[in-house]
Order: sequence, then structure tokens, then C-alpha cells
Amino acid sequence: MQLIEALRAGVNGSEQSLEALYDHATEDTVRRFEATGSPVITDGEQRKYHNFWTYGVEGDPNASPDGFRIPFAAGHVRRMPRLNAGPFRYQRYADSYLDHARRFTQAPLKQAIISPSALSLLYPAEGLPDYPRETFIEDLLAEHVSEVRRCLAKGAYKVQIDFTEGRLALKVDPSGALLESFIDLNNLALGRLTPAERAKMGVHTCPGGDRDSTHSADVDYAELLPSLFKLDVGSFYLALAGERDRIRVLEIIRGVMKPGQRVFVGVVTPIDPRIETSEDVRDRVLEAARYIPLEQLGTTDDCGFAPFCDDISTTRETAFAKIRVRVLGTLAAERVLGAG
Amino acid sequence: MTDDEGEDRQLRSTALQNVESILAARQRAERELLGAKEALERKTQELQQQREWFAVTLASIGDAVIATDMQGNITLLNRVAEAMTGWSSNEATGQPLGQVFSIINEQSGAPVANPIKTALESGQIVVLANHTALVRRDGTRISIEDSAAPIRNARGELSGAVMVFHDVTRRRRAEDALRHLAAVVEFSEDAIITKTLEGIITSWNSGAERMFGYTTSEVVGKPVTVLIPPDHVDEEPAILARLRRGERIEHYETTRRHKDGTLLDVSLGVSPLKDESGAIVGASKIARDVTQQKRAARALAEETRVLELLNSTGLAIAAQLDLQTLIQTVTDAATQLSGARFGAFFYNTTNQAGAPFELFAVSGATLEAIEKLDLPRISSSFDAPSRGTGIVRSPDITRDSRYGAASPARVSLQGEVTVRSGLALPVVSRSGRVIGGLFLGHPEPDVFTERAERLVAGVAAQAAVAIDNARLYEDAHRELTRRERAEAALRETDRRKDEFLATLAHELRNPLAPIRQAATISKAAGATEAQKRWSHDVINRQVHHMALLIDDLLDISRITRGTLELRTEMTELTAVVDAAVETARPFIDAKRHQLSIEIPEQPVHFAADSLRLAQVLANLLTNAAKYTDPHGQIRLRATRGDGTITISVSDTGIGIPADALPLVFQMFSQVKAHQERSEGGLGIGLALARGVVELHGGTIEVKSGGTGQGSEFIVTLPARALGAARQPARKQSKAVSNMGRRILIADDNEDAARSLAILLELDGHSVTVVNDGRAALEAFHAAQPEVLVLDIGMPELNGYDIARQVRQSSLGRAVTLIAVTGWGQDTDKVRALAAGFNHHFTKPVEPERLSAVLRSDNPGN
Repeated sequence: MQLIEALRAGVNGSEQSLEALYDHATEDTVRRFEATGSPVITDGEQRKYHNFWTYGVEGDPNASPDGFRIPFAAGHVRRMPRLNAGPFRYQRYADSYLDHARRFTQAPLKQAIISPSALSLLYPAEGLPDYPRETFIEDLLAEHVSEVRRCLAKGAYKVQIDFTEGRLALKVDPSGALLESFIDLNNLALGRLTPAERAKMGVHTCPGGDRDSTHSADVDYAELLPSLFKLDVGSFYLALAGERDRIRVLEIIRGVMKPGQRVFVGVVTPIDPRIETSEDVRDRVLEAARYIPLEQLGTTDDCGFAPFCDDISTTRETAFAKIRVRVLGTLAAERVLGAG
Repeated sequence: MTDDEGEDRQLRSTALQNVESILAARQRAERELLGAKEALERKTQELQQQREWFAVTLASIGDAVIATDMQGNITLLNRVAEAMTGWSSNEATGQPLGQVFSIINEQSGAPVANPIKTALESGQIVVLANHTALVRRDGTRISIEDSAAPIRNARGELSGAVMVFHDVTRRRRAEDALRHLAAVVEFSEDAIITKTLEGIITSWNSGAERMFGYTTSEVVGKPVTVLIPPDHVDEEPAILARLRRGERIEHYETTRRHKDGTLLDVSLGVSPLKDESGAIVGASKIARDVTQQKRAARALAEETRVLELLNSTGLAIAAQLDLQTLIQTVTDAATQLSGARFGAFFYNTTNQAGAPFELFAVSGATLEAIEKLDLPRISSSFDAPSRGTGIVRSPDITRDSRYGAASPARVSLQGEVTVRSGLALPVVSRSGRVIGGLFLGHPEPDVFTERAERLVAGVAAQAAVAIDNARLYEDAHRELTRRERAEAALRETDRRKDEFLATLAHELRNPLAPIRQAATISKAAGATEAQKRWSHDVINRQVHHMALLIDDLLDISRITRGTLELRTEMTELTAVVDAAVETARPFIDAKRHQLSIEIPEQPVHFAADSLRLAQVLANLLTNAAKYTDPHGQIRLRATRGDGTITISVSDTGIGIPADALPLVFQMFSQVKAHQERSEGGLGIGLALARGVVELHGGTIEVKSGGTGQGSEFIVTLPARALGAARQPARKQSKAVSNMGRRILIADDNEDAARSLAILLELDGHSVTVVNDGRAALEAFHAAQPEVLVLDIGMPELNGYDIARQVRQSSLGRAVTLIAVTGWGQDTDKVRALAAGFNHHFTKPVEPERLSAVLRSDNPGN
């Protein structure tokens, strides 16, 4: 909270004191995450100043904060930056977060990065006179690939592409053309990676949780998942705990998943303030195991616990308790399934 | 429209605007992908082709190829590698290289560093050390040779390593074999040479250097004829011609020349050398120095020849008993064994004057040539062997100081035999006696070796034994012959004795008839006194004749035993001849022969027993008369020579066959042919004559032209003076007594006893007669006679026994004992005296001699 407060105080805080707060928050996060027993941890994205979406372009002089807005079910919107001129360049790459986190842990770290398709929305619909859209797309892809490789080079156990805009694309364009376009764009980026690099890539999608609310929970997984599984990655992190009909979703997953792909199903719901029990989690795993081969099945949280910097709807205690429950419940399920 | 809807539209617009661009990008990407795919497909195809080519290449290159990644795990294993390692490609792929490719040092067995690891670490090409062996999956080993190189990707980064290796087991064996072969060639004792078809030497091993003395640099490039002696140069063109025809030449034995000129016996093997196309470009020649082998073979052949010769010689001389043949065999063998040009065996004998050796056998030269040698000189130069004291071997007699002052020129022989080398050996019997000597000669110097000396010495030793044996055999044979002759002579003597006895019986019986008749006449009542006197004359004459016969027998006995004593006195030849003629005259006149006598006019005096000599001449004259037909010519001729007197008696009689001449002087001999017309006599006359003549120191010989050619007996006597001859014993006269004595006569021959008693009684003695020994003893004691006349051979008690008993009695010591017996030998006399007799008379007793004893004063003396 100190960090949130400091950031909220914003501009008048010294960089040095802010950095200390970032470090503290990061250290606290990885320590607690390690304590949950989770085999793979994250830094809790403590340094993504404002959100998981725009962290790379914050401070871009060619961008302005008046981009399009994303409406959430809870009634609030999030406005995205807008590119005003070319060329498009990341202001920071996520590998810098790994550098910080690695100072506090040797545990396998998963690094989340934003998808090219999400960032493609920065380019204004009317276009830019000296910076054609095609050039932007090309630059976008190049920057994305650079970020992936930098993370891998820093030892990221997994690089996870946040693709929450998948459902949003269907919501915006129910024809699915936008979604297919997003899939294509992301696959264009993934196509520039080597298979080994792609094997370490994962994709996450969810209805978009923010302040215990979603932006596209109403979009049916049935429409999303067939396209989502076209992404050329090894792992899929899918929100499932918050779905109303998990069985249906699981059946869809079973129908579209391919050999060699691993599916990590969400077993806790960050936006639900209630802390699930390990039995809940165990049961959800056992439930999923009926549809997904064990060797392809994994567990995850439905979504990040604080995708936006001002989201304080979920406390650290709740978040780590949920993570702990996920770990314990998964272990319990493993014992039941004889796996492990 | 609400703000949210406006935001949604903006968002949708932005997103959809992007769709076009994304689509375009996708399409572009797809095009690029398609292009890339096509390029990839092309590349893939190319790569596939390359892979196929590579695979084919890998499969066909014959080398094993293993590739690994950076970690050294196998990524590729070609078929050859599969076969060599024993691992399939599937099994090996992914395995650490060390699992599949384990290598060790062939010799030590120690592990060898993995070349791929080295290549990966160094980034450099690594060539495996020599003598590396791959341990196959089944544990067997293969000699390999390999290299490893790093694999770099297009960016030049190391991405792995590749190793190429191949089985060099055969090559290594071949190399080993080649190396061994090279070593064999280099270190061969044989000379191994190669040459062109023009005969130019192209290679030359150390064996050739040792054998021929030339170094490689001296002969390579030179014609091979440098090795060929001039008298063999024709061989090379023939050899080259055969090589051009592709023929091999094996075991070609010839002569080659050492650098120093020495000639070598070599055995050549020459084979054509071909180039890769099969064309004959030269020849390889292997020359083996068989000089020693030849020498050994010759030595072996010589040894075999020598052994065979020794063996045959040993057998021959062991079986040979003929001395001459034996020595010839020994001489031949010694000559051959020693390599002498000639040999001679000097038989060691002493019956040849002059030379110490008698040449007995020669070999390798004619006897005439050998006889031309100055053998005594040569022999004397080798005096030691001639005396059996050692062997002398002279390499050059002409320079041998032992030869003394003889000049070489004198040693050289006229004709075909000359002597420079000499070898002289004694042949010594087992008893150490020198039997003879072998002399071996050769016209060249330095011919006889020590070995030859030993061989000949061995033969000489065998020869000595064999000669000993032959000599013994000859001696035995000679002894056998002598004995056979002696036995024959004995048989002949027996035969003659039988004949003599028959003759004797006849001669003794002849007088008995007139004696018996005369005795009958004298006792006849009507006999007149004249008839009685005539009878007495007949009896006296026949008894006298018989006494002469017996005297002759006794004389010949004495001569035989050497006891006849001559009464030598100075004798005049004419007296002797007259006495003889007087004796023989009745026989000469009876057949009306004409006797001519030629004696020196001057008296010839010489020392002789005139009676015996007259007896000899009378015998010769009587024989001449007997064996000459009536009216024959008998000639007695006496001459005086230088210290001798020769008397010959010749006749014109029946003569004597030549084969009977040697026998006429033998005892009891009468030539058979003569017996048919024997004129009587015992046939001992000539034997008695020879004995008497030889007692005089003379000789008697007989000559005859054969049957019907008459005979001549020649007596030669030394004309010695009396002093040189034995003096005749002179009888001393004894006192004669007329006193009658009491005499006892004992003789189992009653007539003999009675007639003797009558004669003694006529002389006035008183005589008692008994006819056996016991009666004699009784009569002795009863009558006590002064004189006992005893026969020796009587029944019960013989004369000796009676004499001893008489002497042992008190009466008998002074009595005179006279033995009258037919046993007239000297031993009989000695025995009689030993038994106690005073006198010994041989029957028939001359009455006068007995009367003289009885009339002496002391008849016992």
C-alpha cells in the first residue's frame, strides 16, 4: 500500500524513495510467493507502474494518454495511451523486472508481458501521417520479439503473454474478425521466435479482472478458445474458476487443445474476495482432470491480483492466501490422481 | 450515443483499422513465409539432395563417420561406423560418444583421449595418434586411424564435431608385414638386389653389402656384371632373356665375385619385377652364399667318401687273410684317403739286405716308377716311422730338414712320379712290433692335412691288426702244413719201417734155413766128418752174416741217436779203398762187373775211421754191383781237392728216378722200383753211409740221369790232420786166466742157454743151466757159482730182479753178473749196471768176448 500511496502521490516523490518502495514490495511479494510453495513465482508485477497493459509505453513522448477506453462491468473504464507519432518504441522491457526480482529469489520466475495485439490498439484509427500503420505493426512486432528474447535471456522460466483482449475483441467485434486479427498479429510475433523460444512461451486470457470486475466476462469461451488455441505457444493460462459453467469450458478446451500444449486452468478467483479452500481447489483440479490429460494439465490463478496500480480491492494477504490454497489444493489433487 | 458507445466505436475502429494492417502484415508474412517456405523447400530439397549425397557419400566413402553435438552426444553414425562400432545408428544417436566410441592404445591398452572432445575443446582438427584401437561393442578390437574436426554453423559457431575413422587393421598388418619384410630384406643374410632389364642395379640390401663387399652407393646404378667373374659373364644375358619372358629362375647355382676378387659359390633366385600395368621392368635377385654350404657339402661328401672308404677298407682288410692282397688294399685306401698321388707300403722284413724296407705294395703309380724312387733315401729321411716311433708329415720334402742333405732335384723322380708332400706312418702290431711303414707322396706341396694324417693313421692301425691276423693265419697255415708234412713223413717212416721190418725178417730168416739144415746134417748119424765140418762152416758163416746185419742195425741206431763214435786215426786213402773193394769184390765178381779205380798216385793221408769209411765205400760198391746188370761198369774215383777228398762211385746200373733221388739216403728207404729187383739188404746202408760221412764232416750226394742212366754217389771228406780229429779209443789189454769157473746160465730160451753152456764147458768152465728166474735164484744159492750169465727177459723174475736179489745176499756181492740180452740200447746197459750187473752183452754173444771176460783174473771188472 505504501507503494500505491507513493505512486498515487506521484510526481513529487523522489525516485530514490520510490525505488526503495518498489524493492520492498518486490521482495515482500517474492518472499510470500515462495512461502506459498508454488513451484513457479512472479514478482507480482510490482513495477508495472500503472497496469499490465501499458507498462512498456509509459513515458513514451510519441504517445498521449487520450487513447481509447476499456469499459469494465463494474462501470469504470481504463483509458489507454494513444500513439501520436512514430516510431513506436518500448520505453522499457519486462526483463528489467526480472533483474529486480532475481535479487530476492532463485526460484523459477514467470514473467508476464503484454501482447502485441493489445498494444496494437495504441495506433489511432485515423492513422498517423508520417508513420503508416504497417510500419507501426512492424515496429510493434520487432519490439515484442525483443522483449521476449530479453526476458528469456535473463532466465525467465516462462514468458507469459497477457491476452485479456481476446474476449474483448469478440466483445468489440462479435464477428470474430478482430479476434482472428489479434491471433494473427500475435502469431506473427511468435513466428519470429524459434521453436525453443516458443516452447517457453505461454498465453493468458481472462475476462479482465480489475477492481474485482471484468471487461468481457460475458463473452463466451466457446467463441474465444478455438481461436486462442491457434496461438503458437506451449502453455495456456486460462481463467476458469470464475466461469459460470466450468464443465462446458473444460469440454471446449478438450475439443480444441492440441497435443504438446499444456493448459493451466484457473482454480482461484482473484476478483472473488472469498478465499477458496484447498478442497475447492482440489475438486476443481479433479474436475479439470476429467477433461484434460494429466500430463497436459496445470493450475493457475484466474488472473493477476492487481492488474492496475490503483486496484486495492484484493489485499496481499488474500492474494497469497489464495495462492497458498491453489498450491495446497493442487497437491491434494495430485495425491488423489497419483500424479506429482 | 453514450460515451461508452463512442469509446466502443473508437476502440472498434482502431482495432478494425489494425485488422487490415495486420492482415496485410499477415499476408506479407505469409508471402514471406511462403517464399521462405519455397526457399526452405528448395533448401530442403537441396539439403535433402545434399543429405542424400552426403548419406551416399558417407555410406560409400568406406570411412566411418560419427558426428556429435556440442555435448559430445552422437548425432550421426554412418553405416561403416555402425559396422565398426557394433552400434546401430538408432542405438547410438544421443549416446555419449565415449559409450559408442571407446579407443585404446593398441600396444599399452591404455585409454586414449577422445578426439572429438579434444576437437570441441580446441576447435581444431585433431588427428588420432598412431596405434589406436577401437574397442567394439562386443569387446573385439580394430586398429583405426581417424581425425576429428569441429563443426561450425553458418555463423562460425561451434555446433558439434565430426570424426572420420577407418579400419586400418589390414593396412597396419600390411604395414607391419611391409615393415617386417623391409626388415627381413634389410637384415637378411641373403643378398637381395633389384636390377633393371638392362642389368643395372637399382637396390642393394645390407646382406648384399656383406656378401659382395660393395656399399649401396658403390653399386647402385652400376651393371650387375661387376659381380660376375669373367668366365660367367655369359650367364647374365641368358638370365635377362628369361626374365623378359617372365620366367623365374630358381636355385641357379653359380659363381660370383666379391669386391676383393674372392669367388663365391652362390645360389640365385631371380624373379621378374612388374609395374602396375604388369609390364616386366626389372628383376629381383636373391643371392645366397653357398660357399660354406658347398664346402660343407663337399666336406660331407668327402667325409662320406672317407667313411665309406674306411668302412669298406675296414671290412676288406678285416676279411682279408692274404697278406699281399691285404697290404695292397691298405695301400690303395691310404692313398685315396690322404689324397696322395701315390702310396707305397714297405713291408718290414729283415731278410732283404740293404734297404730297411722291402717294397711290398704300391698304389697310384707303377711298381717300376716307385722302384725308380730313391726309396732307401726317402725311407731313411723318415727314419722315425720306419722304426715305428711316430708319424712324419712333411709339407715339402724338398725343404724338409729331416730329409737331410738330399737336394730337391734328387727327390724328384724320373718319369711320372715326383714327391713334394710326404706322409710316412709306421704300421705297428699290437705287440708293439713294427710291421712295416706306409709312405704317401704327392708332387704338390702342402697336400697332407692333419686330418689325412689321422685317417691314414687309423687305416694303418687297422692294417696293423689285420696284418697281424694275416701273419698269424700264415703262421698257422704254415704250421699246419708243417704238421701235415710231418705227419706224412711219419706215415712214410712207418711205412718204410714196416717195409724194413719185412725186409729185416726176410734177411734174418734167410740165414736160418742153411743153419737149420747144417745143424741137422751135423747131427745126422751118417754124416761124415767133412759134412760135419761143412755144416759147422755154414753155421758160422750164416751166424756171421746175421751178426753183420745186426751190427748194421745197431750202427744206424747209434747214428740216429748220435752215439756212434768214430775211431779216427790217420788213414791212407788207398788202404781204405782196398778194404772196401775186398769187401765188395764177391758181389762185383759175382756179376762179372768191370771195376775201375782211380786214386791219386801219391798217398793221401787224412784223419778218419778207416773201418767205417771202408764200410761206406764197400756199401757204395756193393750197391753198384747189386743194381747194375751183369757186365756192368763200376768206377771208383778219388781226388784230392782244396782241403777235401772226393770219392765217387758210379755205375752203369738201373739209375734212380729224379723224384727218388732225395729219398735214397733216408732210413729204411729202398726205392720201390728197386724192390722189384731187390738184391737184399735192409735198405739202411746209404743212411748209414751218410751218417758215417757226416760224422767225418763230409757230405754224400747222389746223381742219376734217371731210370737206366746209372748212378753216381759222391763222398766229399775234409782232408783234416789227426789233431783236428777225435782220437780213437784204445783198448787196454787185459790179463787172461785159464782157471775154470763155476757158471750159472739162466735163459728161458733153452737152446740159447744150452748152446752157450756147451761153448763154456768146451772152454773148461763148470756150467749150470736153468730156464727161469726162480730156478736161477735157487740154483745160485745151491751151487754158489762165481759167474751168473742171466737173460733179462724171463718169466716170473727177470734178469734185473735176479741181479738185485743176488747182490742183496751175502753170497752175491762178489759174484760176477753178466747180462746177455737182446736189449742192446745204451739205456739197457745203464739199467743193467744199475741193477748190479758187471757186464752187458747183446745177443748173439760173441763167444770170444765172453770167454775173454771169463778168462780174466777179475771178471767182475
